[in-house]
Amino acid sequence: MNHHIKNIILSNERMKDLFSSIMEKDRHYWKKFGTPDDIFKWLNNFLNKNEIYLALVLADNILYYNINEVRYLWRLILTNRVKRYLFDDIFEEDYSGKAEDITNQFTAFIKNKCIFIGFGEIYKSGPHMIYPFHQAVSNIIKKEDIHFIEYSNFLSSKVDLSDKKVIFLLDDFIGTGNQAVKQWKEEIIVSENYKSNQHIRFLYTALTGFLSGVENIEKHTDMKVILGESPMDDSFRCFSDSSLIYEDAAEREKAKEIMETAGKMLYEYPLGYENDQAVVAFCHNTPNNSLPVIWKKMGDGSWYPLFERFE
Amino acid sequence: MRLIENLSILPIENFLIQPREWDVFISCGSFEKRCTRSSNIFMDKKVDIGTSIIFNYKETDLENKKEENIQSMKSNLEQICKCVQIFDTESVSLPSEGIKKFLMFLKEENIDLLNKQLIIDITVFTKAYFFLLFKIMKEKLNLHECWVVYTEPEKYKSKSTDRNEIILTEGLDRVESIPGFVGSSVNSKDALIVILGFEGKRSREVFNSVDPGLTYAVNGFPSFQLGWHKISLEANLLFLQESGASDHLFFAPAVDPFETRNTVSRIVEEIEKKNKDINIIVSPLGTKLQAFGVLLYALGNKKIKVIYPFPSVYKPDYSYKYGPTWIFKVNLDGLIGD
Amino acid sequence: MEKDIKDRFDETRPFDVVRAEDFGKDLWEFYEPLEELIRNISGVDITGSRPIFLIGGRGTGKTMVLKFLSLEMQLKDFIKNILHQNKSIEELSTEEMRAFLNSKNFIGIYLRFRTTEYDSIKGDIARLFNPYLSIKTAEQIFKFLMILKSSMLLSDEHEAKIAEYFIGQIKEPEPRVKNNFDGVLKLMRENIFPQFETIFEKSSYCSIDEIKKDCGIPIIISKNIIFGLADCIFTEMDFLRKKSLFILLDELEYLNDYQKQCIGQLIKDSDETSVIFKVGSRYMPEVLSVGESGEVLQEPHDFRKIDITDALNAAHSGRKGDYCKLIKNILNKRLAKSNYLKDKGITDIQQLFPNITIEKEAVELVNGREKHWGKFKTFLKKSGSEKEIDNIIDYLRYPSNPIIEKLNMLLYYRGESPQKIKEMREEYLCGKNEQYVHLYQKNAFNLLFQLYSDYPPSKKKYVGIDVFIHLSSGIIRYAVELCNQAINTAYNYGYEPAVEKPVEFVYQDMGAKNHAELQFKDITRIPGNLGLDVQNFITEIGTIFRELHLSPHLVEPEPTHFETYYSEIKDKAKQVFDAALNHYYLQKKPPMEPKSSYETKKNDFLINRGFAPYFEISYKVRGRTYISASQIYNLIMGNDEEKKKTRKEIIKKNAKKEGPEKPKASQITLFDLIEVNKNETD
Repeated sequence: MNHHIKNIILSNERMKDLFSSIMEKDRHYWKKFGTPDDIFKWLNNFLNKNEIYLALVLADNILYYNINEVRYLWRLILTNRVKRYLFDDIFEEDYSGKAEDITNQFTAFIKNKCIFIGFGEIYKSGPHMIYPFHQAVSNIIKKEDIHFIEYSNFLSSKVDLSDKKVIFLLDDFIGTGNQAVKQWKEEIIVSENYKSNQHIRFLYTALTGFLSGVENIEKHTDMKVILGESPMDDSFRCFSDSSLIYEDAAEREKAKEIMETAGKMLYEYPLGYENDQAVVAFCHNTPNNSLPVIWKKMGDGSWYPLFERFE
Repeated sequence: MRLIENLSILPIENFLIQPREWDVFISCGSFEKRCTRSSNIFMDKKVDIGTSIIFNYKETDLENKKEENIQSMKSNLEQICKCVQIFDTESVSLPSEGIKKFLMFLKEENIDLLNKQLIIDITVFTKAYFFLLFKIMKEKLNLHECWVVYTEPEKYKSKSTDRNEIILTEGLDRVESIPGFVGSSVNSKDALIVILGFEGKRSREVFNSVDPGLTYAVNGFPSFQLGWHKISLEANLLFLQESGASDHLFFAPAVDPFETRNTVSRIVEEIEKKNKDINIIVSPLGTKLQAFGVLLYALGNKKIKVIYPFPSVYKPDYSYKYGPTWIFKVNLDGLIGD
Repeated sequence: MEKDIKDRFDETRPFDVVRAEDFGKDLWEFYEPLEELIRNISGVDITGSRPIFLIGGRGTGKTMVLKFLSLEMQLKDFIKNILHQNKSIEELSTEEMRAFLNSKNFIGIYLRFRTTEYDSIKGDIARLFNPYLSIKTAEQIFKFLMILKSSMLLSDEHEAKIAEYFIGQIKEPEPRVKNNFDGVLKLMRENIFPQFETIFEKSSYCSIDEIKKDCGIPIIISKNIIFGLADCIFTEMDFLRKKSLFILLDELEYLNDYQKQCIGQLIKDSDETSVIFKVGSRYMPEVLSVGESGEVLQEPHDFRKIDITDALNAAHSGRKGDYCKLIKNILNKRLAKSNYLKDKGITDIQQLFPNITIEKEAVELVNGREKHWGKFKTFLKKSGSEKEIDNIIDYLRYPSNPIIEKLNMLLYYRGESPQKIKEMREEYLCGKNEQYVHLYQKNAFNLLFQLYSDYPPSKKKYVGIDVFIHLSSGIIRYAVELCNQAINTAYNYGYEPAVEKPVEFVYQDMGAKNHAELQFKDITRIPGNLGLDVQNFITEIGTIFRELHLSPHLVEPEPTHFETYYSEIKDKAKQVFDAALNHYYLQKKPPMEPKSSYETKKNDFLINRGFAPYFEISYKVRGRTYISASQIYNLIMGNDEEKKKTRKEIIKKNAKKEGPEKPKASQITLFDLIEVNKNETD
């Protein structure tokens, strides 16, 4: 099987370049595959030379965040974005203008005034953000100084939040934002903890996501969204007219047809959850907003993923 | 959101909600359209400026774009400034001569920067120029604080026909220390820190020139625009592999000089923990804002050498239009860590 | 703390590390001695008593040679190969150190002219170069003295005397330190160097008077430090008497003209002292001035020059075997360090990159097809019927070796009858017919190129360790990089090394082509704003050779070098040409004998063979192509039209364009048609 795929790649200069680019990226910064076997297995899902070419284009354009990048984004979110956003909350009237004060008071603020929750149920990606978040900030704030609670506990149990100011909801990716809006309306604001602590601010922090999703959440909830990366526009939707993945319209059309056909066998949303058409993967998991051809593994072996999604 | 000195940078429109004034505004003209942006904004927002100085490099201006842009800047600034002066400096690749000439110019024109509210647009200053400019302003003119403005490009235009490579410069004139930042060479080994740009060839020029014992790299992440960090990484794969820097890869946001400064500080700390006798050399090949972060660090640490690969040619039209304009304030006497 | 090669060495990719810096303190373990080979080839002993200029670019081994002469590396080599022990230098006993010193007639100290260290010593402070260099040299001298001290060879009195001598040469800042080596080193690091650094920093924005006022200017008797100190040490200590101090200066090219003059002066002044300079440089300066005296250094009176690449380049040294052996030894040392590959039974580089014969390559390419007869048939159709054509081809056919078929077609073009050609071929296969043998040997390689052009999109393959060695063009690093590219490419496609499983030809070839492309792109990195011009010029030359390779008449097969009158190349064209030479994109070779007695010898240059895969030309040194100085000027300075016209001129002149000659009535021997090139070495 590998031999067959290799020959196809080797028969075309452009495919050789794409494949080489993918392998070099993996060697130096994805650090996920090591050998090409998984990539060959994934390419073997596709039927012919043209499909394999389009699949290579897709793979070469995947926005993959390795462990260092994920940790760095969490660090940046907390120590930079959040710090600036909450500056007035942290200091109230007390800002002396001294550098050390910001650092000291921020650490104290996080320790005493903040709660961190992995957004969503345990099987969702939000709770899985807690560990990399910890690792990212461990040399700034001690583990025992960060107050985590589980989402389900927040919804169901009574937590003393009287002296808290901010609740952080951690997630990895924002797609349409509909899920977050739904959970806000149906779970969070009806919870006892929310009702008896109206003074609390909710910050929804995620590594990255679509701008439309961010706007949706901020419009329909009281949550403020803080992303690590800049938000994505339509150019990051695989088959949009402004797509950066398939810039050529004919190629894009063909690729869409192929990925959608394959996607129908794999997931109820053939082009990603709510048709998000994302091409994103993280070291810890792949969001279902991404094309299922990238992440879905079929138990019967009929489809092998590139960046497998774990439910 | 508040603009916090040495910590935050803001979109300029968010900052200029109320009228502001400055005593001196220094900017630079070039063939890039974005050099006119700040003066446009100041005019729109009715900023009040005492004296304005526009640097005019001595360089070939085949399509007259630089001249047009400078005239446009002058025209904008004349509406809000008491005095607008065009200062004819030296070539882009002669920062030492250019800045020395500037000191004489200030003297001749009786422009005193001491204790003035100063704002500088670094958008199209070459890195070597603004490094030395800030150095002399700190060392010779006792500058303590300053406002800084920078306008991003909307996108980079020059791509090679194969592999979507971004080409901003061509050829190499020399690899040299930036004047004023010669650092210390007392040790026999060098550690090199490269802030990655879009052109891997320049990282390799610097690397081959220094031939360091240890190499670190800083990638602009998050980048100006989503996904651009991938471009710089891919462009630098060969450099990362040859130098071993792929095992020492750090990040700093492309748009944040203060975080860049913090990152460089952390790297230097890490290097010095493991290697007591090593010279530190930094080469800022990333964004101007990242370079500014390197500048902030180097101003406080004279042992740091800053080197730069001066290209033969900056490609005309390498940047397209303009993106957001940012403003931040630096206090050169005290810089905040994270 | 100096790092271990282990930090960087990946056992699965043993060719990944190429720089001397990356080897750290393990450099000597990977080092393959070059000195003897260089001496044998160039006739110059690098450890002799003359100043030496060692010329070689990046990757030629120049830095390795110089570093290996340094005391530290010599001691490590002594410990490992003479004492057969594993101890550190500091653990050497007095007797062991004496034994070492007795076996050597020199002590080497290594200094590198880092571009970023000396580039600020210019303008008003240019004269600080000598004092600064003298302190840098002294620092290295005192470091080696500390090594001798640690083995108890030096008494306290020796130490005090030497330290006092040094301190006596520092007039400002006035030193207040103890008369011992620690005190001296502390003085340098904490006082003298910081003062210099402050001056260098301020010089970009302060006048010299301001600098004098702020921090003072050091006053140092440089000459005494460099020569006097050495003399003092070498006469003071009996175990160093009659030995020399080798000051090993690397990367001279990074100094400016004034600084080079200072070096020239130092070399001149070193005569009759115990100091001998060995200077490494990418290229030989045109003129080596002696300070500001107006004098210049002359070879061989004042120094000897060794061009490493010239010495190693198999092209014209006649020492191809030595060079191949050297490279293979270097590569096999890497393999020896890789437990991963050793466990798989791979201990020789030929196991990874076996060679392929051109005959085998031709058979694989043709694969039973007939396309290479296409053009020939078309040509025959002009004058013959279908039956006649088939008849002719039958005589020329030999499917077991398509190269023979191409040669037969060539002979037909040149006027030989089909019957005669068949007869010659049969004699050749029986081991007879020297003429055919000679023709085959001379033309086979180029005919293979022509075969490739008959089978697009197939391209010439560059595979096998022998080919890689050719492609390396006398630059050791290239050979290592080629192997690295090949094995990395193979790994990308899932290669698993095994004894019976070498790297497939397709990946070797991809590696060679990637390497060639990288080298081509790297041309633009030549500093001094010459890179683009050099790259364009190399493109012109490569294109010309490529066209000539495809010429059906093969007046000169596989042309890869050209002759010209170098002294006639002028102005900017000369600058560009020299830059190409200095960076080894063009390489000199010994000139060929003129074709006739009334012609003068020209200068001969070949294109770096690393580019062969890029231009799809031969990697051997073949052919004779004349390009005049004015044509070179046009190729460099001309506009696109002029370049195109010049290219066409050159190609037309060097390749017969007219149709094949009909067989003449009189007997023609092959020697009438083809000239023998006596200077061919490859």
